[in-house]
Amino acid sequence: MSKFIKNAGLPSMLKEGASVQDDPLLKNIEACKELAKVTKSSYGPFGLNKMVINHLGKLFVTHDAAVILRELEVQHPAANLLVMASKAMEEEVGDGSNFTIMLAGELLAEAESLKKKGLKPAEIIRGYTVASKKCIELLKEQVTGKLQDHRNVDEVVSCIKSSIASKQYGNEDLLAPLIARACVNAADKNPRNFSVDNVRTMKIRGGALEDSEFIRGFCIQRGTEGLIKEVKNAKIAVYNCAVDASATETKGNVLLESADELLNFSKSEEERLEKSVKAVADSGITVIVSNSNYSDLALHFVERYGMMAIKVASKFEMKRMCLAVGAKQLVKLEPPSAEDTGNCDEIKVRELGETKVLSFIQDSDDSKLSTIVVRGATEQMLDDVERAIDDGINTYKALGRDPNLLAGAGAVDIELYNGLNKYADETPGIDQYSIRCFGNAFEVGPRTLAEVAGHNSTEVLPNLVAKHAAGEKDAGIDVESGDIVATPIRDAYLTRFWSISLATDAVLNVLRVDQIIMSKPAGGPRPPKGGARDDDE
Amino acid sequence: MASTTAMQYLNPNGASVQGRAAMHFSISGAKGLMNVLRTNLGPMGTMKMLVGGAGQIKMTKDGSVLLGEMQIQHPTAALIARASTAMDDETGDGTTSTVIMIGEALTHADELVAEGIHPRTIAEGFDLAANEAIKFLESRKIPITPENEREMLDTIARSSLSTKIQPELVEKLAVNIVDAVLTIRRPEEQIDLHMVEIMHMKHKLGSETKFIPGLVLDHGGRHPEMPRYVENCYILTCNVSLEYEKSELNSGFYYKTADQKEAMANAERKTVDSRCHAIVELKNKLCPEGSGKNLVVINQKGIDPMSLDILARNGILGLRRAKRRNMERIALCCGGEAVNHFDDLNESHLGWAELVHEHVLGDEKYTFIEKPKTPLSGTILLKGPNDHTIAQIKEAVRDGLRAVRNAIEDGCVVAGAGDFESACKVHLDHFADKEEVKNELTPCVKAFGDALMGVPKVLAESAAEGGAAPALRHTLLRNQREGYGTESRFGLDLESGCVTDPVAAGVVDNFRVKRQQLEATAVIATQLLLIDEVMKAGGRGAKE
Repeated sequence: MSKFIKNAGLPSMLKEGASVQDDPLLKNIEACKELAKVTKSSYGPFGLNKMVINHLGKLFVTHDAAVILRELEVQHPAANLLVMASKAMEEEVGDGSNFTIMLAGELLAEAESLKKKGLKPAEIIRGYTVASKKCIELLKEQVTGKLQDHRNVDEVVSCIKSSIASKQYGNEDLLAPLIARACVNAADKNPRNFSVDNVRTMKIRGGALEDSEFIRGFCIQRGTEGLIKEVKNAKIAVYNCAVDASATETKGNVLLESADELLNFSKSEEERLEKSVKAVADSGITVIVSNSNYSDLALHFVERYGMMAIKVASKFEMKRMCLAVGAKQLVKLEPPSAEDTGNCDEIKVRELGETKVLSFIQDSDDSKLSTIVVRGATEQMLDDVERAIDDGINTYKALGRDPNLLAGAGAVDIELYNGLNKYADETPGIDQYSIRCFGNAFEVGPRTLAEVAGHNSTEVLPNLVAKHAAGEKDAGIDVESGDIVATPIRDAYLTRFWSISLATDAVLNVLRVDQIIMSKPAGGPRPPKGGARDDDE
Repeated sequence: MASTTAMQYLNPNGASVQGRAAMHFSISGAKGLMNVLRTNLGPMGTMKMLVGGAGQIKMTKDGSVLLGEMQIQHPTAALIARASTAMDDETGDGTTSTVIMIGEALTHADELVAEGIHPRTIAEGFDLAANEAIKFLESRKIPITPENEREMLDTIARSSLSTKIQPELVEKLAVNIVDAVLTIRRPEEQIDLHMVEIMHMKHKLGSETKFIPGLVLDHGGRHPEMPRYVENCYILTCNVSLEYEKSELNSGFYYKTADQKEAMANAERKTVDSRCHAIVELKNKLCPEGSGKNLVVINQKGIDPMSLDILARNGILGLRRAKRRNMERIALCCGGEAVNHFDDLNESHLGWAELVHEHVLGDEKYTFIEKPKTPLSGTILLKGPNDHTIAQIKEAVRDGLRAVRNAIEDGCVVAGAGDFESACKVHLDHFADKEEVKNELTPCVKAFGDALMGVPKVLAESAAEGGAAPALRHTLLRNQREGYGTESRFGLDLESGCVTDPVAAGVVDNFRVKRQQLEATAVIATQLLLIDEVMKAGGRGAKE
């Protein structure tokens, strides 16, 4: 029979190359579990590093789950749903993606056992939905404290420490105060308005991590255009145009009829430019910043009138610089009005390692902008510290939106575990199985915490559960000794809230799928088959 | 094919099937498509995950989206898919049920052909039945009165949405959608759904989706000094270029001295600057200092850095390159009119909103224009943590909006949950036995009735398992038979697996969707029945 007439199953109706997977639930769960396994060992302060080489050959050494997943480029569609949850987490809070993935993986593993017991996906979904609502309720009850004063460095340090410890264990005592000072400096009176962009990290290779410093103000990796390298009590004019004679948008031609005219033209241009630069200098300006080029002639005059010339090419940097010194951008080379002028206590060029760093430093604590200069031996290490710092800053931001804190070190997880199990006992009908499984999934946090630190989780976990059952809400794992102690570690409420919400959302989506239809993969270069090339040689 | 057909004389690479085989070919395509979509029908239907060529994910149970994305090759299946999606474009719902009804109709037709009835006769019977069914549909209308309007519209929105997204979202979205449609409705005018802007922000959860009786634009002021939060705003919508534009002709300046050059540079800016100053003047006139009033300029054309600077220095929020569609919406939303020039600009040209503010999300900026005077346009703001959630909600919202509009335009709804289909089946059985129906058509009319039962059949399957499903279906039919000729309604309650009154349970469908379904089923089924040969021209040099 000719090819186009065959049995009309779904695959044969589709375009060539497409594939259909019926009832893919168990396979999907399998894939998601594998994914969760990948990042699991990187959880917590004792988490292990992964070395990830991405498709461009760039090397990452990190235990930040968000980075690992991003660079892995997960292909499996269901596992991808989890990766999306971690990405959303990264955008929403900027921290906690590993817990999100782990929880999602565990919830799916529990769903698998439920399915094998004979529950239908729809029933699991219903149970999980009920459980997640209850879970958020329980989480609200778990709030143990609050960040009282957003501008108190010591208090902030204690709140963001756990977030940093989970990325850079051992360095948290060094980094946390740096970050806290930077955040407090950049914070607005209203903590909700804190913008992550106002704290920058600058990585400079060389030196040791201990040499890292916090700068009250703005830094760029660039020298000045001219020869003046240091100015104190600077008055700054910021231009959003080239420092040059003004030009027309339409093409202009100089119409010269004689040699005299040529001479006169150059001369008049010089005079004109000198006049503008002089006018700027006369208004008391000592530093000129432009986002565009300095013509040689203009630079000459700027130098002559004793002004520092700085170029900041990126629009974004320019905006931040204006914020740091309180200047407004001008669109024409003319003297700024008093309110458009920026002020800075000290501007200087330093050399750190091989890099020239131009810093705008303010003396008082309200510069609105902070820079943390990170020093370190390797690129990878710097990257990893930067990510830890980012997480810390994001935690501060999350606390600005919701100052509530939860007990860390597995304490909250066990409370939720107990709470949900209790709720399951009270719930009639088939939902109770799913609710219990939902609660059980929370075991994964403390269990992994203990396992990764090299303790026997089967020993630690029952102790932990028992302590909590006895009413010790703060009982958590001390990762160093493996003992159960009343933990001083605090996590932000918002981080947990979103972790649970997004993980549940992703899990429900995976459970809802009953058929996958994949169209033919688009063209483009195929990734090289793993390892084959080396064997040939 | 083993035997040489006429086709192969004409084109050696071609292929064809004839007669019964051709019909089987069509029917198997229709059935295949039906089997693909049947699991997606109704609120208990399951999701399908579509993975595109580049790995992009889409999750849906909306029939029209599925058919649109699946890249179907089978000719019959593609024909049905196209017809059903065309229907969705029109009415926004009913794709899956249409596919199921066509599949069932052809299945039953197949049996009749096997009994020796000519396809032509079957086609005639189907047409007759469809006409009668439409007449019957008219009698089953539930009118919408001013008193129960809001409730009915909420119900129809909920029914439509529940077949597309998860139940937690349905309640919230339904209210939002009805709000949106009622906002844009103007007496004596057709409802233009384009006046509802659907904007999405990729953060938070799908459940935070909401309706804003104002506008949300997906861009913000491009100047760092522009205000981010302004209250009591006049809104100037315009389509005037505020940037220097090069002349169309090849032109150039000639100058001799730097002074001349500077003068030219200044002159070049003059026209644009004068426009900006016109705006500033207007602001100074209408919003004197201390009045607490502000001016917001929304321009369809560009605003260059110099002009932005002028506006920013005068505390005016200027948005550039607004979407054309939004210009119309802003005018409806805030009042005023979109101006094309700044000559004698005055207050009557301006709109008004109590609050305009900017929201930044990563690299994206959004501007909210809120609390206008008498909004006749609005925005449904979708939220979701990832693209596929947003896409899913967006499609549901689109269909929901149509469902509500249809209900308003029809002035009535019909009961859902299988009530109409089963009642119509009973009615067609009665009708087929009437004298005016020719004897040979009787079985065909009855078969059409059976085809209608396809939808309740699938619904019953999703509500009950195994043997319980046919039993449930028969309970439904028995109830309908007993209630025949009365106003009583019976539908399936999918949660409990019982027969209930669908209107009381809040399940209603659009009248026009049902009518279109009946028409489409009859037309497509008869078309496919009357095919006696399927031919395919082989490609040049194609491999067999």
